[in-house]
Amino acid sequence: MITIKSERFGELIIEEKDIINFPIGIPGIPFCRFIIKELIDPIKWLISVDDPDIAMLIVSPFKYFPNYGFELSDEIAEVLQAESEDELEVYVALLKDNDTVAANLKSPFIINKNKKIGVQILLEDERYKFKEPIKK
Amino acid sequence: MLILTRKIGQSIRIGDDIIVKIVDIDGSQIKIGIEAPKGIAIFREELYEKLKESNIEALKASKELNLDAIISFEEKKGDND
Repeated sequence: MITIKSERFGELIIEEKDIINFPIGIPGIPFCRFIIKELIDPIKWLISVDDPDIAMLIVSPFKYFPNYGFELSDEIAEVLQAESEDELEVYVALLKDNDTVAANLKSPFIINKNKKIGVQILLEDERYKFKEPIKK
Repeated sequence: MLILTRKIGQSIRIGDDIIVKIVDIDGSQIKIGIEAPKGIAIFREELYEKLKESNIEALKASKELNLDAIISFEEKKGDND
């Protein structure tokens, strides 16, 4: 078990088995180990284990964008060591768009919840934007 | 920057396990094939920059977004479900 302290989250007690490793890394972020902590369903925190000040809000996109979807390449499936789709969870980062909340649909996070491996991919699909407002 | 001249079908090897191949040229457009180990991320430069910026913005947004408003929004919606 690891205990990390931060201003935002107070004392976080982390079990090794909950740590998600991002072997390819996350562009712009110098760390590879993260945990997911629920804020309020379906919104969660993605928090760096190495520096808990590095954290973003993530959400499963399907609730707000029911038609959202993409195909996973064989290469990424291999990195994720995914044996079936049921092992995988998809999240998108939340952003601020003036006074509203937006989501980055262009580069979702895919996490193998059983094996605790994560990847951030970049979708070629022109329909998906780096900042898509979430309509209330 | 190292600059090499290549023809269609020719490649460049970077280290032991990365191969960059010129697949096709059509006017000013060049099709490139890349073979690299699984753990190496390959992006178009301009998209990589945007992705990086978006991630940094998400870190910032997590401090600026009104979490109470998000929570009450979700709670309210939950009531209506």
